[in-house]
Parts: sequence; structure tokens; C-alpha cells
Amino acid sequence: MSTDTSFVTRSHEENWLPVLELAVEEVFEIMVGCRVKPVAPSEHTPNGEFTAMIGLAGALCGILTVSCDAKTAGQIAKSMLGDTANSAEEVGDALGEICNMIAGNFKNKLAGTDDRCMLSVPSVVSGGEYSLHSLADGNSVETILLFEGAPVAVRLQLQS
Amino acid sequence: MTTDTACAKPSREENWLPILERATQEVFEIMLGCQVKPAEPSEHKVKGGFTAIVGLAGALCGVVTVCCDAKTAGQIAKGMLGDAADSEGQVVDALGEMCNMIAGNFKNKLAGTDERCMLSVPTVVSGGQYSLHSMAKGHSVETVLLFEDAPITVRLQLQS
Repeated sequence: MSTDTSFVTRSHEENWLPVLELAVEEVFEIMVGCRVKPVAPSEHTPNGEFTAMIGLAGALCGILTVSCDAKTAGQIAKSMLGDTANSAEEVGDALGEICNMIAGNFKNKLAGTDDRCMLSVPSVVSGGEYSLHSLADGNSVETILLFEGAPVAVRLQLQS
Repeated sequence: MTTDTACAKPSREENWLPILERATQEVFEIMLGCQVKPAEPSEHKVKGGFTAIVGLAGALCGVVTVCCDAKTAGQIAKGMLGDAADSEGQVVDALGEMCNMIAGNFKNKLAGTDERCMLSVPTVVSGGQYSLHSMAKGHSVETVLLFEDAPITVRLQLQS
């Protein structure tokens, strides 16, 4: 169900954030079967051993990322795929699918944007030492939620 | 200039590869003023220090990635921005822009695809220890070229 939110009126990050938070909460409830709520970012910074990302193109151009530590990514995969899901590929696929669904749910909530904004395919970065730099130079909003006590960061970075 | 290739037609990787190679060569010639030729992939493995990623959405859905080591990424930045370009931010911007231009040039060469396929914003991963996994399960083609004797891998991964 879309929020009554005109795409053109949403130019400030404080407008995007509650839509993103709602999209994240709904996806976790549907896909992982748990209710999550945003927490204060300053108190919870995830160790981003896994980062799933998906590109947005068209009326909205940018990137959406979901980042968490390896243990949390594994717990998300088990919640989605069952207790046998423990390979790196299954964990990556699960986090990528969560990222894909959050991005799709987010854009569906912006009235008039859905059919003018398309998603690319998710990619997942994993490892102990990496940095991620987006060339999107516009608004950036981030929400952090706790999943089984561990932080998961969801960030939307848009091109101006 | 577009190649006479309908979007739906190139269904095998041997059809996509020469178009990707030509798109890459043209971008290197225009942006860096050098002619690069594909090398044998098996002989030149890139130790990924930097990977730039651009998403494709719409008629073509997938990702284009450009991967090279840190030294080569720095040389590309200097070739594009001048000898003073040595900060990590400048290197990231240069490699992301190269990836963006290769993806744009590639889709422009597919007649009828340009207006139905859109690009997301480039993202660049850097670091000493990471792996990148795309969830695109369709065709994947890769070309390796030598830039100042160092390999650069350009990969197209499409959703089936």
C-alpha cells in the first residue's frame, strides 16, 4: 500500500527517512518474521562485514545498501531459508534479497514513482577489510535497526 | 554510434562480448587517450583493490563492474584528472566515472535499448580483502585489458 507522498514534494532527507523506516520494518516482518524498530545511530554502528546494494535508476537515481556483521547476515539467512542456510552464497543471496525487497517496497510507497523508477540486480560485498563509496551526491538517509540485538544499517543515497 | 543489434537478439555471451570490448576500448581512448586491447583472461588475474559497479535497470537488468589494483586505479585517475589526482576520493571518482561511461556506451550500442535501459549511480568498493557477489543469474561476459601493462577486468552480468 502506497503512502500518500508526492515524489516531487520530497526533496529533503527528513521526508525520505520515515518512508524508508516503514519499508524496512515491513520487509523484516514479512521475510524474517520479526518486528524491528529504528535505534539511535550514534549508539549502534554495525560492523559491515556484509553489505548488500542495489541501484535505483530513472525518476530516483541512487543506491540502497543494507549492511551488517557476518553473524547477523547468517541469522537473517537462516530465518529466511531455514537452519541449513550457512554457506557464504546463501547468506549473500538472503541479504541481497532483503535489500531488493526494501528498495522495491520503498519506491512503491512514493506515489507516482513506482513506474518511473527501476531497480538493478543486488550485489553483495563481503570481507574483513573494504570501504564502499557511492558517487551519489544528493540526499542520503540512514536508519539503523536491531535484529536479535545486533545493528543492521540501511542507507539510501540519491543523486541530486 | 550504435551497432545494428536489437536488444533482444544477443542472447548468447559471444554476442555481448565484442560490444562490451568495443565500448571499453572507446572509453579508454576518449578519456585516457590510449588504445587498449583485450588480453587473455587466464593469463592476467586482477588482484582486486578497486571495483567500480554500475547497475543497469529496465530492458537490460544487471551490473557492469570494472576491477583493477590500487596502482592502476591511481594511474587512471591521473590520466583523467592530472598528476595531482592522488587522493582516494579522486581515484574512486575516476574509476566510477570510467565504469559509468563504459556501461552507458555499451547500452548505446544496442539499438533500441538506450531509452529502455537506465543506469544507476556508480559505487566503488576498495580494500585489501573483499569479495563481490552479484545476484544476476543470467549471462555473464568478461573482458580483460592491459592498461600500462596491468590488467583491468570489465564484467557484464545480466539477470536472466
